[in-house]
Amino acid sequence: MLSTLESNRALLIIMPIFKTKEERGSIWAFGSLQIGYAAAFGGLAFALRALGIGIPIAPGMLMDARDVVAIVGPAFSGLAGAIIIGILAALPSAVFSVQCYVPLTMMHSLVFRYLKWPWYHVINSILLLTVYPTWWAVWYQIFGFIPNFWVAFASNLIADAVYIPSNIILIEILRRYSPAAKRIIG
Amino acid sequence: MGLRIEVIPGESFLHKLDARPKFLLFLLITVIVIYFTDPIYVGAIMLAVLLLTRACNISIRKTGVIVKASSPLLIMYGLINVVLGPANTLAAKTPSNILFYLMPVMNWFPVTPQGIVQSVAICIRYAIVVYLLQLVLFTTPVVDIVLALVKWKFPSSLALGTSIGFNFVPVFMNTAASIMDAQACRGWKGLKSGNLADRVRALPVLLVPLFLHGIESAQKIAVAIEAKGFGYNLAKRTYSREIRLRTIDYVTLAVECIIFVVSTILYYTGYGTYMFTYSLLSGLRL
Repeated sequence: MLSTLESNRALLIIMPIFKTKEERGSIWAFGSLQIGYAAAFGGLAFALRALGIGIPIAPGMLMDARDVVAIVGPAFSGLAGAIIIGILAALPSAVFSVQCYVPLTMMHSLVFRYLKWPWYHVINSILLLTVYPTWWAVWYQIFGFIPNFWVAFASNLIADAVYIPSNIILIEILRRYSPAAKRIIG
Repeated sequence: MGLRIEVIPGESFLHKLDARPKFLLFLLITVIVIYFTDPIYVGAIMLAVLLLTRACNISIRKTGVIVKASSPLLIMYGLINVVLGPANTLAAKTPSNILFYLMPVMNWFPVTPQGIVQSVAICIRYAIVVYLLQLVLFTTPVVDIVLALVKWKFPSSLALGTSIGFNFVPVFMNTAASIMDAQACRGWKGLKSGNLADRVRALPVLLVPLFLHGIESAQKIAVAIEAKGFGYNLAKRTYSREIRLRTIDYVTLAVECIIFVVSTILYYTGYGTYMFTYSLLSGLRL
């Protein structure tokens, strides 16, 4: 009896972490609004990179503002839209970035799809500290630009000092001042 | 400003080429520059790309702006490869190969000629990959890129989203520039002043208005595409412009296949490594 109560209590604690089926909607939903979000945020990511907007943290190291768009944008566009955002965010730095960005934007899209506020911040931050630098380090090694895995990993980990706070601040401001954004992100 | 989305009109080979073989050429060159770690091999590919640019009557200087904009990254990759590249790591095991140490007091980070040679190749490799993208954008209209995606069975809705996204890039570039000017008038110091915390705090000042503009634009796009009949049998949508492979495209595809096979054979038989240039340089020294 006690263990059932405890497990129910545990379930009650766990349940609010996840969005309900109604809140989530269809995983592959890609209507006109999702196309609009994907196109707008993909175009924005491309434009930010093309303009060279970013935070310089060391000589030669510019933390692209487009990465913040590639993290937050998929919250609006859904999983299919995340592919467009990934492609458009990646293209300005040549074709080798496409396979780096697309899986990452899809991953962030899934986080926003399944998790409620503020858990998506927690999981996104964990993913940015683990999956993001690992994934980039692997591709940097394959292309030979940064031949040492740990150096590539560390250089991408430094980027998280910019991306994690920027992404949290941006989402919180949007949730506060844009009802449309709050309705979509949750 | 680095990358430019504009088509420079022309009647050259690259202009006339269908977007599909052009993309494949672009991918092929990206793959074969990864095969080779020798500056002469990679330099020859760079030379071919530059000749192709000239053949298209496109200014190399104009196309190369993107490489110039990426130069800090290029230098960083070069330096990292001089020290940590596999050629340098291997060569540094033999003390006679070491030219000098980057930190001489502690004898840390040895630099060898092999490392320098490979590093030059890596820098050229990065320059080629970045340069090519600009060349493709200068010679290919966005609509052709989308049509190529559709021909490759990319879902129509994704192709539509990608094309709208491409078309929105200049709009967002202008908006971003206007917002930066407006925020600067309000005392925003930009993303390059202050310490890291100040810079991180400054980023949302730019991104929030851009995101709100993005949300608004997305809703307008949704209304516009709904008004144009989006959703009505999207798979059978037709286009006012059709792309079709012609003889020149088939010939290009055949040449691409040959280049790919030859490069792969060269790679697997051990050609194109930094040892080629290194041995030439050693011979000159002798």
